[in-house]
Amino acid sequence: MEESATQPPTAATPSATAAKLAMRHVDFHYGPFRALKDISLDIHDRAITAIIGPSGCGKSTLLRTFNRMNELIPRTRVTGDVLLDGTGIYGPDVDVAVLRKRIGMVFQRPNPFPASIYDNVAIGPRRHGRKEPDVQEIVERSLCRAALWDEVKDGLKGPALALSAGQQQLLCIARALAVEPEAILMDEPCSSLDPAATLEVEELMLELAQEYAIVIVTHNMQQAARVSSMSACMMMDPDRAGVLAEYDATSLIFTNPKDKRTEDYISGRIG
Amino acid sequence: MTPFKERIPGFVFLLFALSALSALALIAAFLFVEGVPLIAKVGVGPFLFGMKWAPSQGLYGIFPMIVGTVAVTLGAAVLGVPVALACAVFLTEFAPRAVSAVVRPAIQLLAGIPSVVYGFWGLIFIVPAIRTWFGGPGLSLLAGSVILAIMILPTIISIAEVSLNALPRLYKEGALALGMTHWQAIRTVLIPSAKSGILAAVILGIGRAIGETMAVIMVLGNAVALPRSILDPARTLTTNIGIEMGYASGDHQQALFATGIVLLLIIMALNSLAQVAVNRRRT
Ligand SMILES: Nc1ncnc2c1ncn2[C@@H]1O[C@H](COP(=O)(O)OP(=O)(O)OP(=O)(O)O)[C@@H](O)[C@H]1O
Ligand SMILES: [Mg+2]
Repeated sequence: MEESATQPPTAATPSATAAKLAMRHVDFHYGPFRALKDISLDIHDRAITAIIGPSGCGKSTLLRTFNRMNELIPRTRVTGDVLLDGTGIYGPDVDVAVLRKRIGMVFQRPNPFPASIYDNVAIGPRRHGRKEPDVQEIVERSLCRAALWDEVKDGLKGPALALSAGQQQLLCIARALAVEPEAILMDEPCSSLDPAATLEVEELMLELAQEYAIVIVTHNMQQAARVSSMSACMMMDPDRAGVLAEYDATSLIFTNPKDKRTEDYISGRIG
Repeated sequence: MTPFKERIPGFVFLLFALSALSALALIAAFLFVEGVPLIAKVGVGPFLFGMKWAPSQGLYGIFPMIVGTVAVTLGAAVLGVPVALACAVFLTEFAPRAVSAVVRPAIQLLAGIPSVVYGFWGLIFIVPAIRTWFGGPGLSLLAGSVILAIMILPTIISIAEVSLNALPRLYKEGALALGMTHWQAIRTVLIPSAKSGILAAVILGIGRAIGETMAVIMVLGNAVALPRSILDPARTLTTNIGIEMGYASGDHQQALFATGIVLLLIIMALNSLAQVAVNRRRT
């Protein structure tokens, strides 16, 4: 499965052995429309991988293919292999709920449930069969991990929707951590946050990258440069299908892009 | 200041709004003017908690009817609410477009059937069925509850469905992303998130059940005695008015108005409860 013939179009391919998540020749269709075309890449464990590219090139689609979230949309289709620890996640005997427990997701707009702060974090572990003394400990640990504990520990029963947008996003990260995932997908997690909150989330991501594989979609080049160690730059084909233009170490992508389109995109945004 | 000419539309609409309000005020005033003297004469306690309703002997106790109203309404809620909520969840979460395109208008149609038709149908099918299966006269609290349960379905279903549909898609995605199954997401995130709207739906449905008269007259048996079981006939506050209104006069007629006051207060309490439930949203 991890043969090297299926490398992304660039030379510097990360070693296949460290891949937590991977795609091999993945195509994705919304009905008749092909949104992803022949995507192959490896996502490293314990690292942050940024997915960048112009609007509509398929970044969110790619991200949501990793936790099968796209299945909620009728008439979608995936071909090729999507792998978690080398095992296909679209196989017939894969339990989607278990898969999504292993691969957490943080959304663009903070989406805490209209319940208390405590219940927001506790709901996941409870669903997965943890009992109350355990749950309490998990909630505290997850909130600590998300750097939110000190701010909310005196108001755990308070409504989550009363928190600031930045706090809500941290809460959503805590909620994702509480089910003990192995990888975390983040789709523009900072796009609705102010600069201070953005910085907080970025620091947290760097922290979490010591334990988890993190994939982040971002329109913010500086953010990609600041937090990620690998960057995947996507582009739209003439037929509007998303392709992987370049995938490499972030430092190389930003200083010495090999693909002309990547260079144009990055310099257009930064310079 | 805005020139007078521009304020005319505002005044006109205010007038129309006031006319609706004044209709309510008029009805309420009429009820109170006619009913309160009788209550004063009989006494609040004997009126509300009196066990005997015998206008010819000057006895006006409506307690059996309060019990009848509460029992038949509770029965309708017990039978109808779970079905209605399941239906709302089915329509919002499970039904393919083609199915909901048929089911939804069908349910709306249920709301359009005249209540006398419900009553007639209940009398022909439900009442004999209860008599054969469970015994008793058939005309009973149970028959009333079954009919009312069906009648409140459209109200509860449509309001519950609207509140479930109004939930942001991100709630569902967030729940599924935590590794919940579809059903777990519905049970632990979607329904609790829509609970204020669902509560309002249930309360409004119950209000509808309390107010219903015609269908209930036809299947409830209308006995003025305190019902001892769900198979006993009973009388509700509304049916009491509906049955006796035609020939009542003097104190008797005033007692019916007084019954109306009690009904109005119960409905008002329920509506404010629904209002509170709706306003509690987003906290
Ligand atoms: N539910 C859908 N049905 C049909 N087409 C869709 C759907 N969602 C997205 N697409 C199409 O797929 C393509 C990729 O969309 P996607 O949202 O993945 O892009 P993106 O890179 O995340 O864009 P953005 O940067 O604006 O978030 C776009 O052309 C979009 O129009
Ligand atoms: Mg997107």
